[in-house]
Amino acid sequence: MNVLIADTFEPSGLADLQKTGCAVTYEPQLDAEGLLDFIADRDVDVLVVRSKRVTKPIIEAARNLKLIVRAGSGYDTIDVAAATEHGIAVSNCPGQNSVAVAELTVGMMIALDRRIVDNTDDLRRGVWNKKEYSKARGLKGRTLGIVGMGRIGFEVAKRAAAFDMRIIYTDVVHHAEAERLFGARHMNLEQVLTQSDFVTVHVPGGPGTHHMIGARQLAMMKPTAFLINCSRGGIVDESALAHALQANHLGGAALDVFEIEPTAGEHDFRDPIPRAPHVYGTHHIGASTDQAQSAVAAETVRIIHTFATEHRVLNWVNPVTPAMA
Amino acid sequence: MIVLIADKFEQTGIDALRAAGMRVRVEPGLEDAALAAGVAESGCEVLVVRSTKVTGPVLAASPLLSLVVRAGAGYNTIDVGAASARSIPVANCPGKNSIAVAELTFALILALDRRVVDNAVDLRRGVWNKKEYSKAGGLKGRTLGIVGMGDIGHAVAARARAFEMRVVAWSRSLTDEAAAACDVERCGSVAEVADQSDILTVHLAATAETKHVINADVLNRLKPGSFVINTARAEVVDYRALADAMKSRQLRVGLDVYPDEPSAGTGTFADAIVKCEGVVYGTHHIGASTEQAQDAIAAETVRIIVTFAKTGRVLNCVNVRQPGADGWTLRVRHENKPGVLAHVLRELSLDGINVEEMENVIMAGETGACAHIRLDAKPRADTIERIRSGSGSILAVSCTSASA
Ligand SMILES: NC(=O)c1ccc[n+]([C@@H]2O[C@H](COP(=O)([O-])OP(=O)(O)OC[C@H]3O[C@@H](n4cnc5c(N)ncnc54)[C@H](O)[C@@H]3O)[C@@H](O)[C@H]2O)c1
Repeated sequence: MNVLIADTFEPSGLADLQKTGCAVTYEPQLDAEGLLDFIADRDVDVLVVRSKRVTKPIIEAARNLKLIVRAGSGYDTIDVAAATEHGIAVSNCPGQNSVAVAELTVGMMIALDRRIVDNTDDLRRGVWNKKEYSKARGLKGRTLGIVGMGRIGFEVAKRAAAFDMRIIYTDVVHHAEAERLFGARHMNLEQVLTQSDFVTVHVPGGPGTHHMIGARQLAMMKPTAFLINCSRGGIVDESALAHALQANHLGGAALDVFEIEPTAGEHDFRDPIPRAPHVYGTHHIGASTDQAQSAVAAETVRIIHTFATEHRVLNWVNPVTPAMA
Repeated sequence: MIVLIADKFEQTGIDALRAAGMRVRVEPGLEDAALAAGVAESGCEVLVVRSTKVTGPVLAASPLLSLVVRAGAGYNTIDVGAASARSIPVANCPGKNSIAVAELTFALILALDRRVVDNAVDLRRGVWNKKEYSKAGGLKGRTLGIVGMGDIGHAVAARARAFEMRVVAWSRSLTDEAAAACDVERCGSVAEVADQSDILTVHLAATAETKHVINADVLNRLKPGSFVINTARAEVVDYRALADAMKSRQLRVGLDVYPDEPSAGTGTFADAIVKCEGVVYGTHHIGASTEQAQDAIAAETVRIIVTFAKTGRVLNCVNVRQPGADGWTLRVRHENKPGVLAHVLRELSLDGINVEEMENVIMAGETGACAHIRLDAKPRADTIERIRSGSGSILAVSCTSASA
């Protein structure tokens, strides 16, 4: 089976793919045109991409393509409709970054409690203020409210349980395992907001959850509580959050995602929310760890190996009947 | 009993002491000469401190001072030698802030991995640099090395397990069984821990033996890009070697303690290490400072003082001599009457024998009693005989070696 990897990929994943007997071509530098030419001229059975666009012309030019694997979770960079039309399967690697996001979430919880950013900022400026920074509350015995007990919410609960926190959550479904393993208690959103010392949001983005945490919800939170959002920007109403912080109706917030984010790597960022009092912002890096990348690579290898040996498509996002090898 | 608290202290603790009948004075600002004057002027028998230094002159300020309680674990801010010389017991509250320190340790580890400080500072300045900050290792699957498996080391290990990290550890008295019980791999030395660690965290007490345990040799064993965390005491890490290794091995460093740390709550901070190039995150010696820890410490401080007031016993005493194996114990069963013990002690002193510790227990019914007297040397046979026959109230006398 001929596999073309058209984006950067973990060396460990490359080696594992070769071990499964696939003929692997690694061409991370291909641009759109190069990819089209390559795929038109050569026999490529499986195409692996990360952020590279797989457009309709590329799919139409493909001679032999049977499967496109998105080494990551979102696949809006792939023209899935065109693939379906040509009987090409598309699959992705969802959930492989849950641990990375959970680590950041817990990191931000303790960073807020101990004010790690301000601590370091002051020391760098030669200011010693132990008096001010000695006022943390600690995690043990505090209540963590998880909004959305999915894959990431579960990993957060697992870590918070080791910190001896009380865990409550809200979700449209019950999570029996989180209840059994970590004593998590299911409640409605209002109860979670009123009882929690930390509230962390892990629901999917989209119209159904837009401004799910708005002025009314923020007002329900304890004035000392912290809000963490490492899910999607629109879920928390940023201007309502800024108001709540300015009025000291909230202890602080950590945000990895924003309502409007620059798309490219390096940019000016004029969003005022990271400058609001007691806000710690990060650059939408929730999923970005080597561990998550390795997990994605391992999942990609599993998908291709299963396809090559069992003619089955794992994590199939466009069930079609592909022309099997 | 008058209690002087020369630091900030939980209101719950103050209330509990007052409820137990103590006269409590809280003077958080006192230091050095002012503290000595405060001790003398208040007539306190118990002095409670957190980070305030207790020097020789403070201990000599008043003959009434009979107990110093460190509301916290480490007591290198107290001149214990001077306290011992004046027979003033010093007590501490060990293990009460383990959780708080373990939490801070993890805050620093996670912050260093994701560069949380630089992220936040850049966003505050209007800079978006996802490209740069997307380079993190993640914790799962990495190796955490713990030097010092006391209460804090254990609490750190337990949290690391939830992060699915591999944990290796060295501690002076860590056995294979103890290591297995908390799911860590035991190393034979600090160097061995360093050889294996992606993240090295130290949780040793500061003693003569632990000074600079984390030295250039240990640091140079770490892989480039490793993290070093010190939330213990500045003395256990060689900070000059650390600054060098930061440069030569691109170490990321998380610190809560510094060689030149202001003792006051506010001031200027001159230690250059936080300005080193690279990723160094620092906190203001706040490891123990959470409400959860303070509540636990306050409760323990109250327990120590109330026990002392009621029984004279000092819980968690750090400067009582650990009796060696070479003493002798004299056991005297006697009638519970005045003068009996005076007779025993007089005969011992005539023999030139020093009494080290003694306990006298009254039996039910109050007619009989039993004394255990620890001696620095073996009494002569005729001394024992004179003790036995010199008073009609002595029922039996025996003397045994403490090592027997
Ligand atoms: N910061 C980052 O870089 C980053 C990386 C990966 C994922 N994410 C985001 O994290 C979020 C969670 O991801 P996941 O993998 O855990 O998803 P998931 O699908 O496993 O979990 C989402 C959970 O939310 C619940 N849910 C959905 N709508 C809800 C509602 N209206 N009220 C209550 N519960 C609701 C679902 O039942 C599910 O249990 C998503 O928004 C995802 O986009 C962010």
